[in-house]
Amino acid sequence: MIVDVALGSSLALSGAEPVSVTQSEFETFYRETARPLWGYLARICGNRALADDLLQETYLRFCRARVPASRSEWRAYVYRIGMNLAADWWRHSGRRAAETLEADVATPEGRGGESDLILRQGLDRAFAALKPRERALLWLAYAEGMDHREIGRALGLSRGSIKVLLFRARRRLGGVLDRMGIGPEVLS
Amino acid sequence: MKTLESNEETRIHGVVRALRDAPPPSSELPDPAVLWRKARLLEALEARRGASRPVQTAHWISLSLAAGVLAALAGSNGVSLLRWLEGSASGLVLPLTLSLFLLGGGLVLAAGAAAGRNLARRGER
Repeated sequence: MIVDVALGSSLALSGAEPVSVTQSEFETFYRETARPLWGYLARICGNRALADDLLQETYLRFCRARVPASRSEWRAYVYRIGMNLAADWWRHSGRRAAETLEADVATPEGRGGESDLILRQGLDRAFAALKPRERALLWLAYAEGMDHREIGRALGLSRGSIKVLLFRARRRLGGVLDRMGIGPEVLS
Repeated sequence: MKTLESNEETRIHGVVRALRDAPPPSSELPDPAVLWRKARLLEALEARRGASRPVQTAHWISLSLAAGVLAALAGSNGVSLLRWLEGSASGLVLPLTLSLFLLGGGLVLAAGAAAGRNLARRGER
């Protein structure tokens, strides 16, 4: 169940007057962003079915909202809606659920060799050991290639704090990988 | 130190990319046209709910007033309240009571008109 989330005034990303999105604009934007957003939601929530629900709810809210006038800000805006919905789910489902990556998000079988599969499952476990916000930070920075400004907008954090938080998240994931014996040479 | 940090960043980059490049979900994502229609339907539903809110509020006020009158009548041993109203020396109690009823009726009518106007405005959009 997804409950209402107050998006707040902080979602007004720029000073320009927000606008309503048209159907063709929405459809184009959806085709560009839905799959990466699904990946992001699945990774930070650790649940495929929940990622499906959150994705649908995110875009329903996006359609009904008055979005930033600048199209370049839409991506951070939609990720912010998704993050808020996920955070709301965490609040209502408890901390343990939030910090446990379910097996159904883990890399499925059937691609690459057996060693490749074992490595990927190790990476899944390492990523799952992080806190949701750390997962979100790393995913936005390295999977989505967002800059600090965009990450700040997507997560509702100040641009200045992103560098520090990202550094800590990297160190934490690095520590987990070290403990699991996954060094840089394994990934190359 | 800088090189160490750079190596670490490269490793993390590699990990996240490897996870991102894992096979995509087998389930199909929803059709954007369907989502768009659903959003419009939800919007219309919310508009209707918003428009009918004043009517509902007026309804509750009327019910509360009626309950209050009934309670007053019940607590006044049957017709004694009516007798008091009729026999009131000041002559103001009856007009005041009547105007209260008229006010209630007016409130319901005004709420209905506001709801109708809201619905018409939403319909124009």
